[in-house]
Amino acid sequence: MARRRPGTLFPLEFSILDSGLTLQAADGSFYGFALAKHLAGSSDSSLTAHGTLYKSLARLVDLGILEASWEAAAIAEGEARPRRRLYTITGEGEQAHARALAARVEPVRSPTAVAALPRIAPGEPSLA
Amino acid sequence: MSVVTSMPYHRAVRQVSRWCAWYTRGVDADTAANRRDELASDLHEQATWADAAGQSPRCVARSILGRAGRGALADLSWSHAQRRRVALADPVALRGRRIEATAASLVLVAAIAVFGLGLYVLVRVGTGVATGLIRGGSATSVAVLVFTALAACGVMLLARRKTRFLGALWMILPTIGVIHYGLYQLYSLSATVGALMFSMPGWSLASDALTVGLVVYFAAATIWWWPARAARSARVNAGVRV
Repeated sequence: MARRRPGTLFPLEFSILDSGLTLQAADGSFYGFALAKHLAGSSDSSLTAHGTLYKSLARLVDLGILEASWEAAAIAEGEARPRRRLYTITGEGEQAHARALAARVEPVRSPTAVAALPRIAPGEPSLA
Repeated sequence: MSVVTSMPYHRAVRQVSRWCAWYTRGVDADTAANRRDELASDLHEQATWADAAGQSPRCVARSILGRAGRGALADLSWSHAQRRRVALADPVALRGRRIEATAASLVLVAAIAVFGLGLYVLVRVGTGVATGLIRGGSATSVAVLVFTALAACGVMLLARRKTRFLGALWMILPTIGVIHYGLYQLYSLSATVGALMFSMPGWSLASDALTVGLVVYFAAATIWWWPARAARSARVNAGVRV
């Protein structure tokens, strides 16, 4: 199993925050299946697995990156469906997302990172 | 036909719900209920969405089961972490469970050893009959066969928590039978056992001691796991925690 470095997000967690911010901007909060659908894009063939999705959401709640609460029962009853567990991204979550986003861009810009990239001299065979 | 009212969808929901009920056992009650309700909501949302998208019930059922299957390892790892969290919050109960697990493993190992001995003797009997060393169907070999079969039942009973006490009680009889008739049968089949019987003065005493030791061991396990005693112990533990 992949071990987490302190202060880092797993790729799925970053995607959850990314999609979550979009859904939250539109509806104020988001729930599991809406997130799975957003993560999958337009096709349903790759809806995130239940276990993977809800384990990640629980972990993000534990880390204080998300807040979870149950939807009011009256709303769910009014629409004749089970209650949704609604998530919102906390301030800390927004910061974590911004940091993860910067870290994704940073290695390309950083001179040390560029120096660390494998170099191929002109005329040498390509690695591709 | 609507996905929500279709049989394939309901079958898939039943299977996923059963799986969820299984991996949330032993997890904190609130956490388990949250997971079950959240999953129920997810399944309903998927069906509603699939209805609107015009998907067939079979396709939705496949997708639901696929999602459950792909997430099974994550479910198990989440469940393990949650159970560990519950256990760490109550170190006395954790120690009790560890002792219980160790005792159960040791008794099971002893039962498997008795079964293994019976099986070994039966293999030697089979080889002996095939090579013409002994004649088949002797009373001793039949007795070994019967007691080995009983030992196999005992192992199966011991493997389940609910029938553990019955398994320990059950193992007393095949233990006596397998060791007594097994060693007696090996006397005519194995040169080593034959030589030991003649050369080792304490052979009989050693085999009797082994039988008595195992019988006492299984009897002690039976008393330890006896339902009334186990229930009382659980109540006492619950009282200590309060």
